[in-house]
Amino acid sequence: MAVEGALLQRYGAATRAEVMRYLAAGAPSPFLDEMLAEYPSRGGKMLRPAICLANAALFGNEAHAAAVRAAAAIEMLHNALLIHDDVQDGSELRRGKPTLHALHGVPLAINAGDALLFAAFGPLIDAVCPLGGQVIRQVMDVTTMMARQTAEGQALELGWRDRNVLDLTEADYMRMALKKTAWMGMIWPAQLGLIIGSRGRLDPEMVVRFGYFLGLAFQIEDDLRNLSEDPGYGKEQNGDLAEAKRTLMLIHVREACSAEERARLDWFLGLRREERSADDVRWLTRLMHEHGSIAHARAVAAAMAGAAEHEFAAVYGALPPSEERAFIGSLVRWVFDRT
Amino acid sequence: MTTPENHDRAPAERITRPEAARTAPQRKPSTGVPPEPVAEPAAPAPDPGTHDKDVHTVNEAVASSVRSAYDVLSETIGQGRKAAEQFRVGAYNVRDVPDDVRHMAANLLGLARQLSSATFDICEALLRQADGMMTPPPPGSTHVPAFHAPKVEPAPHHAAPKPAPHHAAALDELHLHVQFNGKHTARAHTKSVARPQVPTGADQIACDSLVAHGGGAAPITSIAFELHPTGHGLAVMVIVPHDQPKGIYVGPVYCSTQPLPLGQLVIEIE
Repeated sequence: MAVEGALLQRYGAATRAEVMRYLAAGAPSPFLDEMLAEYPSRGGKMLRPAICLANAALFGNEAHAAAVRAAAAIEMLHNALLIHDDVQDGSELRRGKPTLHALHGVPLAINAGDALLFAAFGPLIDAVCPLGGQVIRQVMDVTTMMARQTAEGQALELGWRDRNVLDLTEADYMRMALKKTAWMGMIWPAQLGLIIGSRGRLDPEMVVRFGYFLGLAFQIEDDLRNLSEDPGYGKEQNGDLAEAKRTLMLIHVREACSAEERARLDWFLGLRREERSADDVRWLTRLMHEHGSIAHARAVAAAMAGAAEHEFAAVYGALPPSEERAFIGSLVRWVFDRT
Repeated sequence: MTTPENHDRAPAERITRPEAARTAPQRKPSTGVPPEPVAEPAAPAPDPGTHDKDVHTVNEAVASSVRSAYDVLSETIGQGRKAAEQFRVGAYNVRDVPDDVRHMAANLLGLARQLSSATFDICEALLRQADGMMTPPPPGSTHVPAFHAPKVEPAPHHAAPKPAPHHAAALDELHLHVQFNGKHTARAHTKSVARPQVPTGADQIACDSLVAHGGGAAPITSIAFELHPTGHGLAVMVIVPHDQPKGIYVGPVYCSTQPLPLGQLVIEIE
């Protein structure tokens, strides 16, 4: 599906070229450089860089070359975190191919992730240095904030699962999704674009709400898709249930079910990953349907999309119609239509 | 489902609804929405556009979710603001200010340093001028042009030693007030030495020894310099040993800030 396809393609190509230019700089180092380029060369939607570039264009478009470099930094940082995420989650596939640690082992993969993480600062610094101290300060502020929020979100998700935390609420889930998904995926790219495009004249907080609700809708829809027959992106159906991932549906069903059902659910969640049988997973799926947890999550996802549209109108509504504004607006629908 | 604009209505509807009051958050879809078909795990995703279609009944649970979502965001942003405030105000550090401000401050400091240096130079020059002006020019040393062509007089055969030749020259001299300690009567033949090229303290000026003219006698080694109480020139204290032979004694006056001696100190013990 195309989200204002031509624009996404154009932005994606420019970002990818810049990423490869930075990764190709210098003599290749054994056991490292080919790994740095592995995930970026596999493609990817390039949605984050496109959000950055579109925001830069919408809020001033004063430094397009700088915005492209910032977009490259975003993509490199995203890929670095993917390498680490795959290790933390024990994932075997990424973009249809074996994960980096599956190919080269965990130590080398973590090392490559570290290197890519720091390499991302190359284009980011190159992007903002010519724009002056105030812009540098703002970019570093939002980047530090994003790093903190993302790490907190990841810690929440891993901690809940590993320590078998049960008494979670919807607010807990939303807090986790805000930090883990929305900040790095939607809020930060938009903030970078806004700061660079306006040369620091606009407040980067103005795009937080739209990114937050978009990210929430995205995360809930992502969790819902994992329960469908075709979860996409090479994941197994109900894989989140087998991993006891704390999703909105799981939190809902635990609250809505009977005491007897909750006792079995808690027993199931207390098992190790390999101890959870397919029958247990099927039972949990059925329980979620019976108690309306799936429908509730769909409704909440749609409501978050509504809230995102509301915030979009508040922030971008007054801007003149453009390809970039249409692209940002179409992201809400894309959350559900993406393939 | 609802949109954020609708959540304000929820409490009022909850009060007027004829059904039994809830005792816990309503999670089941029985309130206001049709029951979800059971055992349909692969149900197709709903049309995303449905959220902006007309929905006549507000789903309380979803409205609560949206409200909760806004609360979570406010809380998170509030924490971020608080932390930022602490970093920026509580533990204020020069590194927290924008770079251009830091550069401007550094430039100002540099400028102030240069100005200070220039100010001290000016003060020193003023002090030296004042020092010179405090010493009146010796009689006859001020050249006053005559109304008529001066009569040329032959030079005297034996020119007596002149005092400081010119008022301006005094600026380059350092007056010495030589005092003696001991049984002998003594007097100094040196009234001044050259002023050091850079500002110098009295403790940096020394004369190691005064050697007897023509040799023979032991040198005088106890010579101390200090600032004269009047503030003009230096006080020199020479301790003359009891058995010091009479005669002329000469010694170079050194300054630690320059290699060339400032002059010769000449005393005579009678």
